[in-house]
Amino acid sequence: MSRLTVGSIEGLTENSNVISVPTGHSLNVTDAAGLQIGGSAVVSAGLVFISRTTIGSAVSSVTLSNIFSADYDNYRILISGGSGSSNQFIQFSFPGAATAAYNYQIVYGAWNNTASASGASGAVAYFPYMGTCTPTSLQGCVDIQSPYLTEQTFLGSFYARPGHIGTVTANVLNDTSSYTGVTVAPASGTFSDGNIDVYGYVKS
Amino acid sequence: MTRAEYEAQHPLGSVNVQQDGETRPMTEAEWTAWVDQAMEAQAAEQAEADAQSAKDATKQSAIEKLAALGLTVDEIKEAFGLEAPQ
Repeated sequence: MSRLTVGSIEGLTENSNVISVPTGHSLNVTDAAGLQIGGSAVVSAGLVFISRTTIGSAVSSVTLSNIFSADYDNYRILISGGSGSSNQFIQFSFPGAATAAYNYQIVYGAWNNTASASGASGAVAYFPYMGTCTPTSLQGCVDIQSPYLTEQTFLGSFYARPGHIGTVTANVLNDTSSYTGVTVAPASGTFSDGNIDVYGYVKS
Repeated sequence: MTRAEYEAQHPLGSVNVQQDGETRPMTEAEWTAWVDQAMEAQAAEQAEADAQSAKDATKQSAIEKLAALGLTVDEIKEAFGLEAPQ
Protein backbone atom coordinates (compact mmCIF):
# COMPACT_ATOMS: atom_id res chain seq x y z
CA MET A 1 0.00 0.00 0.00
CA SER A 2 1.35 3.40 -0.87
CA ARG A 3 1.53 6.21 1.63
CA LEU A 4 0.93 9.85 1.05
CA THR A 5 3.13 12.13 3.08
CA VAL A 6 1.55 15.52 3.21
CA GLY A 7 3.82 17.24 5.68
CA SER A 8 5.84 18.74 2.90
CA ILE A 9 2.84 20.09 0.98
CA GLU A 10 2.35 23.73 1.69
CA GLY A 11 -0.93 24.55 3.40
CA LEU A 12 -1.81 20.96 4.27
CA THR A 13 -1.45 19.18 7.59
CA GLU A 14 -1.47 15.52 8.46
CA ASN A 15 -3.71 14.29 11.29
CA SER A 16 -3.94 10.51 11.41
CA ASN A 17 -5.95 9.59 8.29
CA VAL A 18 -7.44 13.04 7.85
CA ILE A 19 -6.06 15.58 5.45
CA SER A 20 -7.19 19.08 6.35
CA VAL A 21 -7.46 21.67 3.63
CA PRO A 22 -7.44 25.29 4.80
CA THR A 23 -10.28 27.56 3.74
CA GLY A 24 -9.63 28.95 0.32
CA HIS A 25 -7.54 25.97 -0.76
CA SER A 26 -8.66 22.87 -2.63
CA LEU A 27 -7.31 19.34 -2.82
CA ASN A 28 -7.34 17.51 -6.14
CA VAL A 29 -6.40 13.86 -6.41
CA THR A 30 -6.26 12.18 -9.79
CA ASP A 31 -5.71 8.45 -10.11
CA ALA A 32 -4.19 6.52 -13.03
CA ALA A 33 -7.61 6.15 -14.66
CA GLY A 34 -8.11 9.88 -14.63
CA LEU A 35 -10.77 9.92 -11.89
CA GLN A 36 -10.58 13.11 -9.92
CA ILE A 37 -11.69 13.71 -6.36
CA GLY A 38 -12.21 17.28 -5.26
CA GLY A 39 -11.99 20.46 -7.23
CA SER A 40 -14.57 21.06 -9.92
CA ALA A 41 -14.72 17.44 -11.08
CA VAL A 42 -16.06 15.13 -8.36
CA VAL A 43 -15.90 11.40 -8.85
CA SER A 44 -19.31 9.68 -8.88
CA ALA A 45 -19.41 8.46 -5.32
CA GLY A 46 -23.11 7.65 -5.09
CA LEU A 47 -23.96 9.11 -1.72
CA VAL A 48 -22.13 12.19 -0.54
CA PHE A 49 -22.09 13.11 3.13
CA ILE A 50 -23.71 16.49 3.76
CA SER A 51 -24.01 16.90 7.51
CA ARG A 52 -24.12 15.21 10.90
CA THR A 53 -26.26 16.64 13.69
CA THR A 54 -25.81 15.31 17.20
CA ILE A 55 -29.06 15.30 19.13
CA GLY A 56 -28.89 17.14 22.45
CA SER A 57 -30.29 15.99 25.79
CA ALA A 58 -34.07 15.52 26.25
CA VAL A 59 -34.94 17.09 22.92
CA SER A 60 -38.50 17.13 21.60
CA SER A 61 -37.58 18.09 18.04
CA VAL A 62 -34.56 18.77 15.87
CA THR A 63 -34.86 21.15 12.94
CA LEU A 64 -32.26 20.78 10.25
CA SER A 65 -32.16 23.94 8.13
CA ASN A 66 -30.48 24.35 4.78
CA ILE A 67 -29.73 20.68 4.18
CA PHE A 68 -31.56 20.54 0.84
CA SER A 69 -30.22 22.53 -2.07
CA ALA A 70 -29.78 22.57 -5.81
CA ASP A 71 -26.67 20.42 -5.38
CA TYR A 72 -28.76 17.24 -5.08
CA ASP A 73 -32.25 16.17 -6.07
CA ASN A 74 -32.47 13.17 -3.73
CA TYR A 75 -31.31 12.54 -0.18
CA ARG A 76 -30.95 9.89 2.50
CA ILE A 77 -31.27 10.61 6.20
CA LEU A 78 -30.00 8.09 8.75
CA ILE A 79 -30.80 8.27 12.46
CA SER A 80 -28.76 6.13 14.83
CA GLY A 81 -27.34 5.82 18.33
CA GLY A 82 -28.86 7.65 21.27
CA SER A 83 -32.10 6.82 23.07
CA GLY A 84 -35.72 7.81 23.51
CA SER A 85 -37.66 8.53 26.67
CA SER A 86 -40.03 5.73 25.62
CA ASN A 87 -40.85 3.48 22.67
CA GLN A 88 -42.08 5.90 20.03
CA PHE A 89 -42.12 6.46 16.34
CA ILE A 90 -39.98 9.20 14.86
CA GLN A 91 -41.78 11.62 12.60
CA PHE A 92 -40.68 14.12 9.93
CA SER A 93 -42.27 17.43 9.03
CA PHE A 94 -41.36 20.12 6.54
CA PRO A 95 -41.44 23.62 8.03
CA GLY A 96 -44.17 25.64 6.34
CA ALA A 97 -45.97 22.73 4.69
CA ALA A 98 -49.75 22.60 5.09
CA THR A 99 -51.43 19.70 6.86
CA ALA A 100 -53.44 18.95 3.72
CA ALA A 101 -50.24 18.12 1.83
CA TYR A 102 -49.23 15.18 4.03
CA ASN A 103 -50.27 11.81 2.56
CA TYR A 104 -48.88 8.52 3.74
CA GLN A 105 -49.56 4.81 3.79
CA ILE A 106 -47.84 2.02 5.68
CA VAL A 107 -48.11 -1.69 5.25
CA TYR A 108 -46.62 -3.51 8.17
CA GLY A 109 -46.38 -6.92 9.70
CA ALA A 110 -46.23 -7.77 13.34
CA TRP A 111 -43.59 -10.30 14.31
CA ASN A 112 -46.35 -12.92 14.45
CA ASN A 113 -46.99 -12.33 10.72
CA THR A 114 -50.26 -10.50 11.22
CA ALA A 115 -50.49 -8.06 8.32
CA SER A 116 -51.99 -4.61 8.80
CA ALA A 117 -52.08 -1.26 7.08
CA SER A 118 -52.63 2.32 8.06
CA GLY A 119 -52.59 5.62 6.28
CA ALA A 120 -54.06 9.09 6.06
CA SER A 121 -54.40 12.01 3.73
CA GLY A 122 -54.24 15.52 5.13
CA ALA A 123 -54.92 14.38 8.67
CA VAL A 124 -51.72 15.39 10.45
CA ALA A 125 -48.92 17.84 9.68
CA TYR A 126 -46.15 15.25 9.70
CA PHE A 127 -45.13 11.86 8.35
CA PRO A 128 -45.48 9.62 11.40
CA TYR A 129 -43.48 6.48 10.56
CA MET A 130 -39.97 7.60 9.67
CA GLY A 131 -38.18 5.58 12.37
CA THR A 132 -38.32 4.56 15.98
CA CYS A 133 -36.83 5.37 19.32
CA THR A 134 -36.50 2.99 22.22
CA PRO A 135 -34.93 3.55 25.66
CA THR A 136 -31.67 2.21 24.23
CA SER A 137 -31.61 3.23 20.57
CA LEU A 138 -32.74 5.46 17.73
CA GLN A 139 -33.40 4.15 14.23
CA GLY A 140 -34.35 5.80 10.97
CA CYS A 141 -33.52 5.30 7.30
CA VAL A 142 -35.41 7.68 5.03
CA ASP A 143 -34.99 8.41 1.34
CA ILE A 144 -36.33 11.81 0.30
CA GLN A 145 -36.85 12.64 -3.34
CA SER A 146 -37.01 16.19 -4.71
CA PRO A 147 -37.58 18.24 -1.53
CA TYR A 148 -35.80 21.24 -3.03
CA LEU A 149 -37.39 21.00 -6.46
CA THR A 150 -40.70 22.70 -7.14
CA GLU A 151 -42.57 19.43 -7.41
CA GLN A 152 -43.99 16.91 -4.99
CA THR A 153 -41.65 15.53 -2.32
CA PHE A 154 -41.58 11.76 -1.91
CA LEU A 155 -40.35 9.82 1.11
CA GLY A 156 -39.73 6.14 1.69
CA SER A 157 -38.80 4.65 5.04
CA PHE A 158 -38.84 1.54 7.14
CA TYR A 159 -38.78 0.91 10.82
CA ALA A 160 -38.22 -2.14 12.97
CA ARG A 161 -37.77 -2.60 16.65
CA PRO A 162 -37.57 -5.53 19.02
CA GLY A 163 -40.93 -6.85 20.10
CA HIS A 164 -42.77 -4.61 17.68
CA ILE A 165 -43.16 -4.43 13.93
CA GLY A 166 -41.35 -3.82 10.68
CA THR A 167 -42.86 -1.73 7.95
CA VAL A 168 -42.48 -0.15 4.58
CA THR A 169 -43.95 3.31 4.23
CA ALA A 170 -44.75 5.47 1.22
CA ASN A 171 -45.26 9.17 1.67
CA VAL A 172 -45.87 12.15 -0.54
CA LEU A 173 -45.87 15.80 0.37
CA ASN A 174 -48.43 16.82 -2.21
CA ASP A 175 -47.41 20.37 -2.99
CA THR A 176 -44.87 22.00 -5.27
CA SER A 177 -43.05 24.10 -2.70
CA SER A 178 -39.30 23.99 -2.39
CA TYR A 179 -38.04 22.95 1.03
CA THR A 180 -34.57 23.48 2.43
CA GLY A 181 -34.96 21.69 5.74
CA VAL A 182 -36.84 19.13 7.79
CA THR A 183 -37.86 18.70 11.43
CA VAL A 184 -37.26 15.36 13.12
CA ALA A 185 -39.17 14.51 16.29
CA PRO A 186 -40.38 11.60 18.41
CA ALA A 187 -44.17 11.17 18.33
CA SER A 188 -44.19 12.01 22.02
CA GLY A 189 -41.64 12.36 24.74
CA THR A 190 -38.05 13.20 23.90
CA PHE A 191 -34.93 11.70 22.43
CA SER A 192 -31.31 12.25 23.36
CA ASP A 193 -27.85 11.90 21.91
CA GLY A 194 -27.64 9.91 18.71
CA ASN A 195 -26.89 11.33 15.29
CA ILE A 196 -28.84 12.48 12.28
CA ASP A 197 -26.74 12.06 9.16
CA VAL A 198 -27.74 13.58 5.84
CA TYR A 199 -26.43 12.36 2.50
CA GLY A 200 -27.09 13.51 -1.03
CA TYR A 201 -27.36 11.27 -4.08
CA VAL A 202 -24.88 12.37 -6.71
CA LYS A 203 -26.65 13.30 -9.93
CA SER A 204 -24.09 11.81 -12.29
CA MET B 1 -51.08 7.82 30.10
CA THR B 2 -53.04 10.74 31.45
CA ARG B 3 -52.09 14.35 30.74
CA ALA B 4 -51.03 14.80 34.37
CA GLU B 5 -48.78 11.75 34.16
CA TYR B 6 -47.27 12.95 30.90
CA GLU B 7 -46.66 16.42 32.29
CA ALA B 8 -45.09 14.93 35.40
CA GLN B 9 -42.81 12.81 33.24
CA HIS B 10 -41.82 15.76 31.04
CA PRO B 11 -42.16 18.92 33.15
CA LEU B 12 -41.71 22.38 31.70
CA GLY B 13 -38.02 23.18 31.73
CA SER B 14 -36.94 19.61 31.19
CA VAL B 15 -37.74 19.50 27.47
CA ASN B 16 -35.55 21.12 24.84
CA VAL B 17 -35.84 22.00 21.18
CA GLN B 18 -32.92 22.02 18.81
CA GLN B 19 -32.32 23.94 15.62
CA ASP B 20 -29.13 23.69 13.62
CA GLY B 21 -27.13 22.49 16.58
CA GLU B 22 -28.45 25.08 19.04
CA THR B 23 -30.44 23.59 21.92
CA ARG B 24 -32.73 25.61 24.20
CA PRO B 25 -35.53 24.83 26.67
CA MET B 26 -39.11 24.94 25.37
CA THR B 27 -41.13 28.03 26.17
CA GLU B 28 -44.33 27.48 28.13
CA ALA B 29 -46.45 28.02 25.01
CA GLU B 30 -44.36 25.51 23.03
CA TRP B 31 -44.52 23.02 25.88
CA THR B 32 -48.32 23.30 26.19
CA ALA B 33 -48.75 22.78 22.45
CA TRP B 34 -46.35 19.86 22.59
CA VAL B 35 -48.30 18.17 25.40
CA ASP B 36 -51.53 18.79 23.44
CA GLN B 37 -50.06 17.06 20.40
CA ALA B 38 -48.83 14.10 22.45
CA MET B 39 -52.29 13.60 23.92
CA GLU B 40 -53.90 13.82 20.49
CA ALA B 41 -51.41 11.31 19.09
CA GLN B 42 -52.09 8.96 21.96
CA ALA B 43 -55.84 9.20 21.40
CA ALA B 44 -55.43 8.54 17.68
CA GLU B 45 -53.21 5.55 18.34
CA GLN B 46 -55.76 4.13 20.78
CA ALA B 47 -58.57 4.66 18.27
CA GLU B 48 -56.57 2.80 15.62
CA ALA B 49 -55.85 -0.05 18.04
CA ASP B 50 -59.55 -0.27 18.92
CA ALA B 51 -60.50 -0.35 15.23
CA GLN B 52 -57.98 -3.12 14.60
CA SER B 53 -59.34 -5.10 17.54
CA ALA B 54 -62.84 -4.76 16.12
CA LYS B 55 -61.63 -6.05 12.74
CA ASP B 56 -59.88 -8.98 14.40
CA ALA B 57 -63.03 -9.83 16.33
CA THR B 58 -65.10 -9.74 13.14
CA LYS B 59 -62.60 -12.00 11.39
CA GLN B 60 -62.57 -14.44 14.30
CA SER B 61 -66.35 -14.52 14.35
CA ALA B 62 -66.47 -15.28 10.62
CA ILE B 63 -63.95 -18.10 11.04
CA GLU B 64 -66.00 -19.61 13.86
CA LYS B 65 -69.19 -19.47 11.76
CA LEU B 66 -67.46 -21.15 8.83
CA ALA B 67 -65.99 -23.78 11.13
CA ALA B 68 -69.51 -24.48 12.40
CA LEU B 69 -70.49 -25.29 8.81
CA GLY B 70 -67.87 -28.02 8.71
CA LEU B 71 -64.91 -26.28 7.09
CA THR B 72 -61.52 -27.04 8.59
CA VAL B 73 -59.27 -24.27 9.82
CA ASP B 74 -56.83 -24.99 6.98
CA GLU B 75 -59.61 -24.73 4.39
CA ILE B 76 -60.72 -21.42 5.85
CA LYS B 77 -57.19 -20.04 5.88
CA GLU B 78 -56.61 -21.16 2.32
CA ALA B 79 -59.88 -19.62 1.14
CA PHE B 80 -59.06 -16.27 2.72
CA GLY B 81 -55.33 -16.23 2.04
CA LEU B 82 -54.51 -16.27 5.72
CA GLU B 83 -51.47 -18.50 5.49
CA ALA B 84 -48.28 -16.88 6.70
CA PRO B 85 -45.55 -16.57 4.05
CA GLN B 86 -43.18 -19.55 3.99
